Amino acid sequence: MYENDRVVNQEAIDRRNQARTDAFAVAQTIVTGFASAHPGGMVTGPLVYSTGVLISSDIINAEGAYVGHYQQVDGVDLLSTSGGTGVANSHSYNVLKTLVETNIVEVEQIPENWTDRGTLLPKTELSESQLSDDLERVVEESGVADISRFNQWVERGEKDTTDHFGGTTEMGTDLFNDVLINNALKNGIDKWEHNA
Amino acid sequence: MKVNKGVKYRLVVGSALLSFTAAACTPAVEPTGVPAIYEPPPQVRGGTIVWSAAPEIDLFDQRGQLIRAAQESKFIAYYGGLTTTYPGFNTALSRDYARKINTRTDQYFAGTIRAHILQILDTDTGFKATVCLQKSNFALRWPDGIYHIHNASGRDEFVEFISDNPDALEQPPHTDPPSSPHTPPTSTSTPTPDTDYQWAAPTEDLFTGTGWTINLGSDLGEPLARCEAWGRSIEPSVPPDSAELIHTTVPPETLPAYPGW
Repeated sequence: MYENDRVVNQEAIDRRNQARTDAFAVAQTIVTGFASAHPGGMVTGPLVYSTGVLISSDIINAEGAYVGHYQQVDGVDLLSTSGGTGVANSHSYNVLKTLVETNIVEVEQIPENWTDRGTLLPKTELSESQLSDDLERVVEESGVADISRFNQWVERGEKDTTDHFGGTTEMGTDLFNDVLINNALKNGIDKWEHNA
Repeated sequence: MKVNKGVKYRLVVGSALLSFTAAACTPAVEPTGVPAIYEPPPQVRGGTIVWSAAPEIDLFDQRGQLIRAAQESKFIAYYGGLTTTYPGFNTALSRDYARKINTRTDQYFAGTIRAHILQILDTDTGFKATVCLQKSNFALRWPDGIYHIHNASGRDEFVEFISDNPDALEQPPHTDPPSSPHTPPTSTSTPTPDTDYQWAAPTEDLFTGTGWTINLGSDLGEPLARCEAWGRSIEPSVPPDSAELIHTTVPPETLPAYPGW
């Protein structure tokens, strides 16, 4: 399923793009105060997903525009725009957090000043220099290959993460994490650039 | 407090005298608009750094000053922005590292960072220093007014100076160890409120014209283990094998910067 020559399901991409368009529409609706477009606040179909992502403030900027940064999978940022250092750090941190929460990485493997009583510290409690200097190496020493290269790629904003891995909303969190954490990142992301 | 202020005062007076002498001997030139004395950004002013070093390292020789200035500029870059760092640092910093800096201008320093130059190693392209940091007495004040303290053993960071021709850049290394070890006073000097201007900065450009390119980072591994041991030696009460987050409305005490410039 995860071979290099995997053919991306165009239909899935179309569905995702439609979800994005819907998210944009809902974002505009909410910002402009016309939430009644969906009686009772209930939505169906792809808009369920769209409504969910609107919880994140990252999706709407100060002008109410959809900025294309949403979170489809818990713990993993999916990026469709260039975001700079802060975004790359967020992504690396989320990968590390997922590794810890799925017990792929033991907390004891992480430098002690990254943990509090056996728990990975929240990203907001880590210093910026910890994030810039240590994070990629901590992740890579946890067994994930190429996270730095992956982050360079994310930083350039070349492609959406889902494009890159051929992911779809139907994959679900567990399957997507399995692809991202256990396969693509561990084995090297070059194998997954068939969509880039 | 007295040491630091004395140093600062001498530097300011010295600079003023030099300026006066130069003005008397050279044709008048139009002011360039560049501030005569560097001012750190408000985000860091409420904090200080107390430096120490291994016995063979001199905090005041060329390398010692470059290392300290680069490390302090790194702190400033993350919270005030690269353009607010010590004069010349932004240009000397490698572009690769500059791209990694994510500036948080909404957090403010309080308290004192303990920094220790653990070692300086010569490299093929220059030299590299390991700096240990201990921040149990240091806080970042968030916008809600809460002070966030990261009480942990210590961490390692490195400061690396790189050149295509490093031999041509340096004066002969300082061979005599300092007359007394650079051990900061564990004094009971009266801490001052964090709202005061505490930060001590060099008053001159230490980087421009040196030819060095600066790279920053951390090594983890063995240097980290040594820095953790150092950190525990000065803060034995930190939790074992972990950090401890402290959120408080009370700022940590701010000790006088040491040793000054």
